[in-house]
Amino acid sequence: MIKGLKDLFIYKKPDENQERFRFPEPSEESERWDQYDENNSENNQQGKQVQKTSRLKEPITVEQMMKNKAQEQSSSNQNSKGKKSKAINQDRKISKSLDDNIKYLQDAFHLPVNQDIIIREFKIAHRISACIVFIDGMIDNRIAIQFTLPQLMDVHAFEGFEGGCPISFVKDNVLSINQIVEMNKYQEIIPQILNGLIALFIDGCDKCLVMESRGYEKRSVSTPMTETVVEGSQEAFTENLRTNITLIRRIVKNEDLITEFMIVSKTNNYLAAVLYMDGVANPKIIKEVKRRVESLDVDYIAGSGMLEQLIENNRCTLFPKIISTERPDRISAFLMEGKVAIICEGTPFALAVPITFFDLFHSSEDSNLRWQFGSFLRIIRLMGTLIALLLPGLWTALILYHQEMIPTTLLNSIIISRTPVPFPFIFELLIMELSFELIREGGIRVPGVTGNTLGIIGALILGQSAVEAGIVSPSLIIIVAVSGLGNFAIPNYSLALAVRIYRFVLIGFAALAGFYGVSVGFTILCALTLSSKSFGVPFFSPVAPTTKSNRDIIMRDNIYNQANRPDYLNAENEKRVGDSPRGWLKKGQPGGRSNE
Amino acid sequence: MNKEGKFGYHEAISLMVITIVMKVFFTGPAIIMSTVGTAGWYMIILSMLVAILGFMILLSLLKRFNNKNIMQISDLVLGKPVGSIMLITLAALILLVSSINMREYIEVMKVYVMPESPPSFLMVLLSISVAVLSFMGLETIARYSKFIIYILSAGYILVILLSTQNFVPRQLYPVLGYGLDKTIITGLQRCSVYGDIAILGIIASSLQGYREIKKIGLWSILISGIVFSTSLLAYSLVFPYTVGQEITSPMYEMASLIDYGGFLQRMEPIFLFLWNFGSFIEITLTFYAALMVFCHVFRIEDKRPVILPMLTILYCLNLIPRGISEVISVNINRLRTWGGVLFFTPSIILLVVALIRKKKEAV
Repeated sequence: MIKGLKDLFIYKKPDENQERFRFPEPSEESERWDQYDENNSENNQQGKQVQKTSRLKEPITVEQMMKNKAQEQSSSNQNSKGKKSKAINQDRKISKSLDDNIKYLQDAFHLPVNQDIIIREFKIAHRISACIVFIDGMIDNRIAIQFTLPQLMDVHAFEGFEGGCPISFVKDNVLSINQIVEMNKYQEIIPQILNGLIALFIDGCDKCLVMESRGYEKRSVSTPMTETVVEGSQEAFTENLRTNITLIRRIVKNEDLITEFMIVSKTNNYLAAVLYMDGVANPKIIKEVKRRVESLDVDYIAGSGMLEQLIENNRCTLFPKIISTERPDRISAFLMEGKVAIICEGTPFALAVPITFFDLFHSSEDSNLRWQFGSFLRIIRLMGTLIALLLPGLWTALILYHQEMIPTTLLNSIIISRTPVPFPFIFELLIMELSFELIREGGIRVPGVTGNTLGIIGALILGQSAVEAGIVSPSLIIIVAVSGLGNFAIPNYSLALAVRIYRFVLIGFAALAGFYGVSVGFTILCALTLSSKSFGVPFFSPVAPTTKSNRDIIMRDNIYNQANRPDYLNAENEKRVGDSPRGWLKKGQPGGRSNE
Repeated sequence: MNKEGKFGYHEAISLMVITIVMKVFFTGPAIIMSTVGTAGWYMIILSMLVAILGFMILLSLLKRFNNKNIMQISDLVLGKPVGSIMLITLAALILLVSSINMREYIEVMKVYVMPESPPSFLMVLLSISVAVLSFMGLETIARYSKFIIYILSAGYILVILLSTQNFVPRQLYPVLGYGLDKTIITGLQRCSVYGDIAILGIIASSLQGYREIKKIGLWSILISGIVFSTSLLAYSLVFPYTVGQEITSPMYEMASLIDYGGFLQRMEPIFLFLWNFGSFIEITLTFYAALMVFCHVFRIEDKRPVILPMLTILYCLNLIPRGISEVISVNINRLRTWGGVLFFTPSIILLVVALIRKKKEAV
């Protein structure tokens, strides 16, 4: 190694016979090494000089290299496609021969290596060969044992059957299952089997029946973990897509609530549902959401978080453009406003689009409380957001650049408290901020009660010890703690994380140029945020740009005064409150009858 | 490619008001006090009326060519070769105005807040803000001004209200200042402070037609006039005119004089942010206006590659004055006296030529 390092610094005259540097060209290189191996094994007696000569090739241009690469890639793609089509051509329609179908399914599901795919063959009414296909553990066994096999095998159930393909007869007269669909393409049937449905193939039929039979293990509905409220619903989404949609349908009991299912990933066939209120949501937004979701070309998606990253607009800002919530009541409110919801299976969160900055710091509790309380809570949250974002930066600017702006008595006590601290202020601040971040992250990762205890004990002991050891000043602990509390007041996790990161950026700007630096940092942050959009809606609507809105941005007005849906959504039906929202009151009273 | 986009009435008013009124926070009031004494607060109203006249010329031009900006009108009226010469001159002059505003801000910043920092360092930071805002485009600049105007208005009103403790009404005397004739002549000349309103002609395509431009322009001049007048009145009430003409930034000084006990004193941090945010918008808008004109002349659709080179020119222009005294006595004084001519001349030329050549586009 030492020799190698030494060689780096010593000039060597190039050897005329030595191979010169040239662009490594993958295919060429592999050829060379293949050739080298062959030569090495077969002709050991040949000298190295000869090998070098045979390996020498004319250098190629970069354009040529790219062209070769593209050709190689397209040929490998064609090969892999060819292989796939040979093995499982999912475009194929099902055959009338049951044996062919079974053979095809065995190939498609890699039987017998794959052991949780069950193909159960039997005779319908002791006469016609048939089979059911399902995934073990994904179905409710009672559907197969009680409602499918006994009825199909029963001879009496087929009295009146006149021969031919029995698919329609079975569907109409034999199976007592509520959801049965006829399908004839493997590309439709296989995802259904993978989702926990049973497929029934019958000999002599070029269609099959797909029966609803999902019955896998799932978690029951529980209380929200990250969006707890004092007043309001205590139900949260679960990992089950059907349950989540049911939770919403229980709140929005309206025939115009549309649910469209889509498979969003190619390999793990991940299912998502797009929900919207027909006649309320803007069709352009619905179209855009569906366009983005349908156009995904990703192998693996395992949750709303991954889907969110794939469909959001990225424009240099950390603030989320899609809201993620675990509360069915919140999603219902969004749907009624004219937004579009996306629910994925496997995660207890639903997404809603388009959103604005102000949606991120609203909570469902705001609407459940009277407007005075709701407004008060929102102001506190806004203050929390501003404190979390700006306070450490402003404090840095004050201490490092603008001491003259601090009242003398306060300045005196700050100076006294900082006297024993041996570090520069910015170092002291960064130590404290990073310690606080560590406590917070550690508290989340440590399970259960221990996590909370770690957080409190860690903060207390670390803070007190740091002050006693003279590593940080008490005033700084207050600043860090207050900004941390401010961050906890932010109701959206992604927004809180973005604020945590931006805080460090602003500390950097403050250390660079005091208040001037903070102004520069804040301007850059605003420019990036104000230019961003969520599904075409400017992120700071309805403030910048100004659009018509109810008084529901920071201060919240009475529910009966919030007459219109947000203007920036361009909802099909703008009105959400009638002319007499509180019809029990007389004309002239707030929200009272419009006419006597 | 950054497009200008469209923005509304509120955003445009915020943009124009901030760009116009920022002058009152710097060296302008001291120059006005030295010229007209205590009569500055109503002299500026007279200037406002003159500026409205100037704006009407621009407006009648825009009315003839609805939904077109001054660059497109110039191409139609003067033709591409002659129009380009005029537009290049206009772009260069607006860039010069931007550089003067920037240097003035940096110098005053250096005097009051960052005395030990070299101006080049402060300029680099400011240039970063201008670059980011410009990269995001005119729509973002307008939204930023709409967003920030709430903070600026609150800060401004707070500083004025808290300064009432230092108001001395007798300092308004003599009411006529150095004489009515001087006040009127200076008032006519000083219409330049509202000259930035001509930028509306450059950004006209981003606005919603002639009628809205009319409303935006008139409201912007009116609001700016009120802000100018109230702040000049407040300075006159706080500082005797003999002292006022010596102060680099009377508003900053006024904020630092606020004292309502141990913990409500020295309000300059509030003012500082007001100053910073407002100046960023003012400098960015003038810079972006120059950029728009330049890109139009050379038919450059994507402005982003031009931003950094043009910003480098702006930076270099900033380094030309030797110091604050040269900036105030030469650049600022000339700009505030002749700026009106600079801003309104292109529209006058275009209108006259359009009338002669009978060029018109139906509304």
